[in-house]
Amino acid sequence: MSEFNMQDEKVLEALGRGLEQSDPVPEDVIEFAKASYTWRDIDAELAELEFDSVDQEAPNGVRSSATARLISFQAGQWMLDIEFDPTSGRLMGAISPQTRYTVDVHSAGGFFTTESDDLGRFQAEGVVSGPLSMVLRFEGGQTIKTQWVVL
Amino acid sequence: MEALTHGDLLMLAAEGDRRAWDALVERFGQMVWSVARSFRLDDATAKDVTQTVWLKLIENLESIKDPERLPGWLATTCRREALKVAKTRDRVLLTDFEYDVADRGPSVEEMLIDDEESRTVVRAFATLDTVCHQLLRLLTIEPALSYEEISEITGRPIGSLGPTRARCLEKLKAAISRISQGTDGS
Repeated sequence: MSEFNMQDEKVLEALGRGLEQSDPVPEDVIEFAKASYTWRDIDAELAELEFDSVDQEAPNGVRSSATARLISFQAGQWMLDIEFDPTSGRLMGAISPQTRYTVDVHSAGGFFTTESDDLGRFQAEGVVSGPLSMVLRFEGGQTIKTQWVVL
Repeated sequence: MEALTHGDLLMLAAEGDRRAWDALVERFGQMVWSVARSFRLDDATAKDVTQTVWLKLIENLESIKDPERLPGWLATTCRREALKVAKTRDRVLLTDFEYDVADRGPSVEEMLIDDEESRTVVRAFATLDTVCHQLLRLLTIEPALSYEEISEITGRPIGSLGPTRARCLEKLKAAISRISQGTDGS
């Protein structure tokens, strides 16, 4: 076994080499990271995370993945509440104060645009787990974009 | 771009230079991935976590106070997201799996490794417990993380890292010699 009588540094080096070859960062992760830079160019006020149900522990410490995820964002006077049901892939949102807007949904599953109703509610189907950000464009021309969250 | 410091790249990226951003992603892509993997996340979860880390960096390009500490910032952000996503999905993190690798042939992943020495080491590595698995993985990362950063990622005191490193390397070397004896067919 003389060839394996390696010093610690050499063992770590061989391990690093081996892991980089057997488990390299996937190319699509790199591509997504590079492409994400354009999100920055969207000229909009950032809506910050105000509440995330994932941060709340149930009283008995038991969490259930079956329940819907509730997240709130705030930008100035605007408060956006969203609800995501991981089982059905349905995303629902509501803004106050109530107004009409279009919403661009950016997620790992892709990009699409939908519209709210007069009461400021929208619904989207087929949203997948993963990073999510929404860009809301109001009728008056104002735009807000939410921080990224992971569904 | 390669000659530029982390701080230069960060500043240029914050000013809107897309090439600087691409260079940052290239420079630290493998590192962030390795930190996510050190939490033993599966492929899909590791992807979500690393993607989120990059998105957080885009959000914070202007606000990172000490640009030379960017590797540490990426690593600790990765830890936070890994723990958070584990909570939302009921994924089991850091499970122990120990098995007798001498009983199986090399996995597909191991076959990708082109030198025998590294292949044996990776195979031996797979038999280690969770603590060793994470610490040794973090120690292999380039550019190297400081003990302070590793302590932050693992949640273990700095003073314990040296002794744990020594213990884990002993275990790794023992597994290496077990495997190389087994594959010798003796």
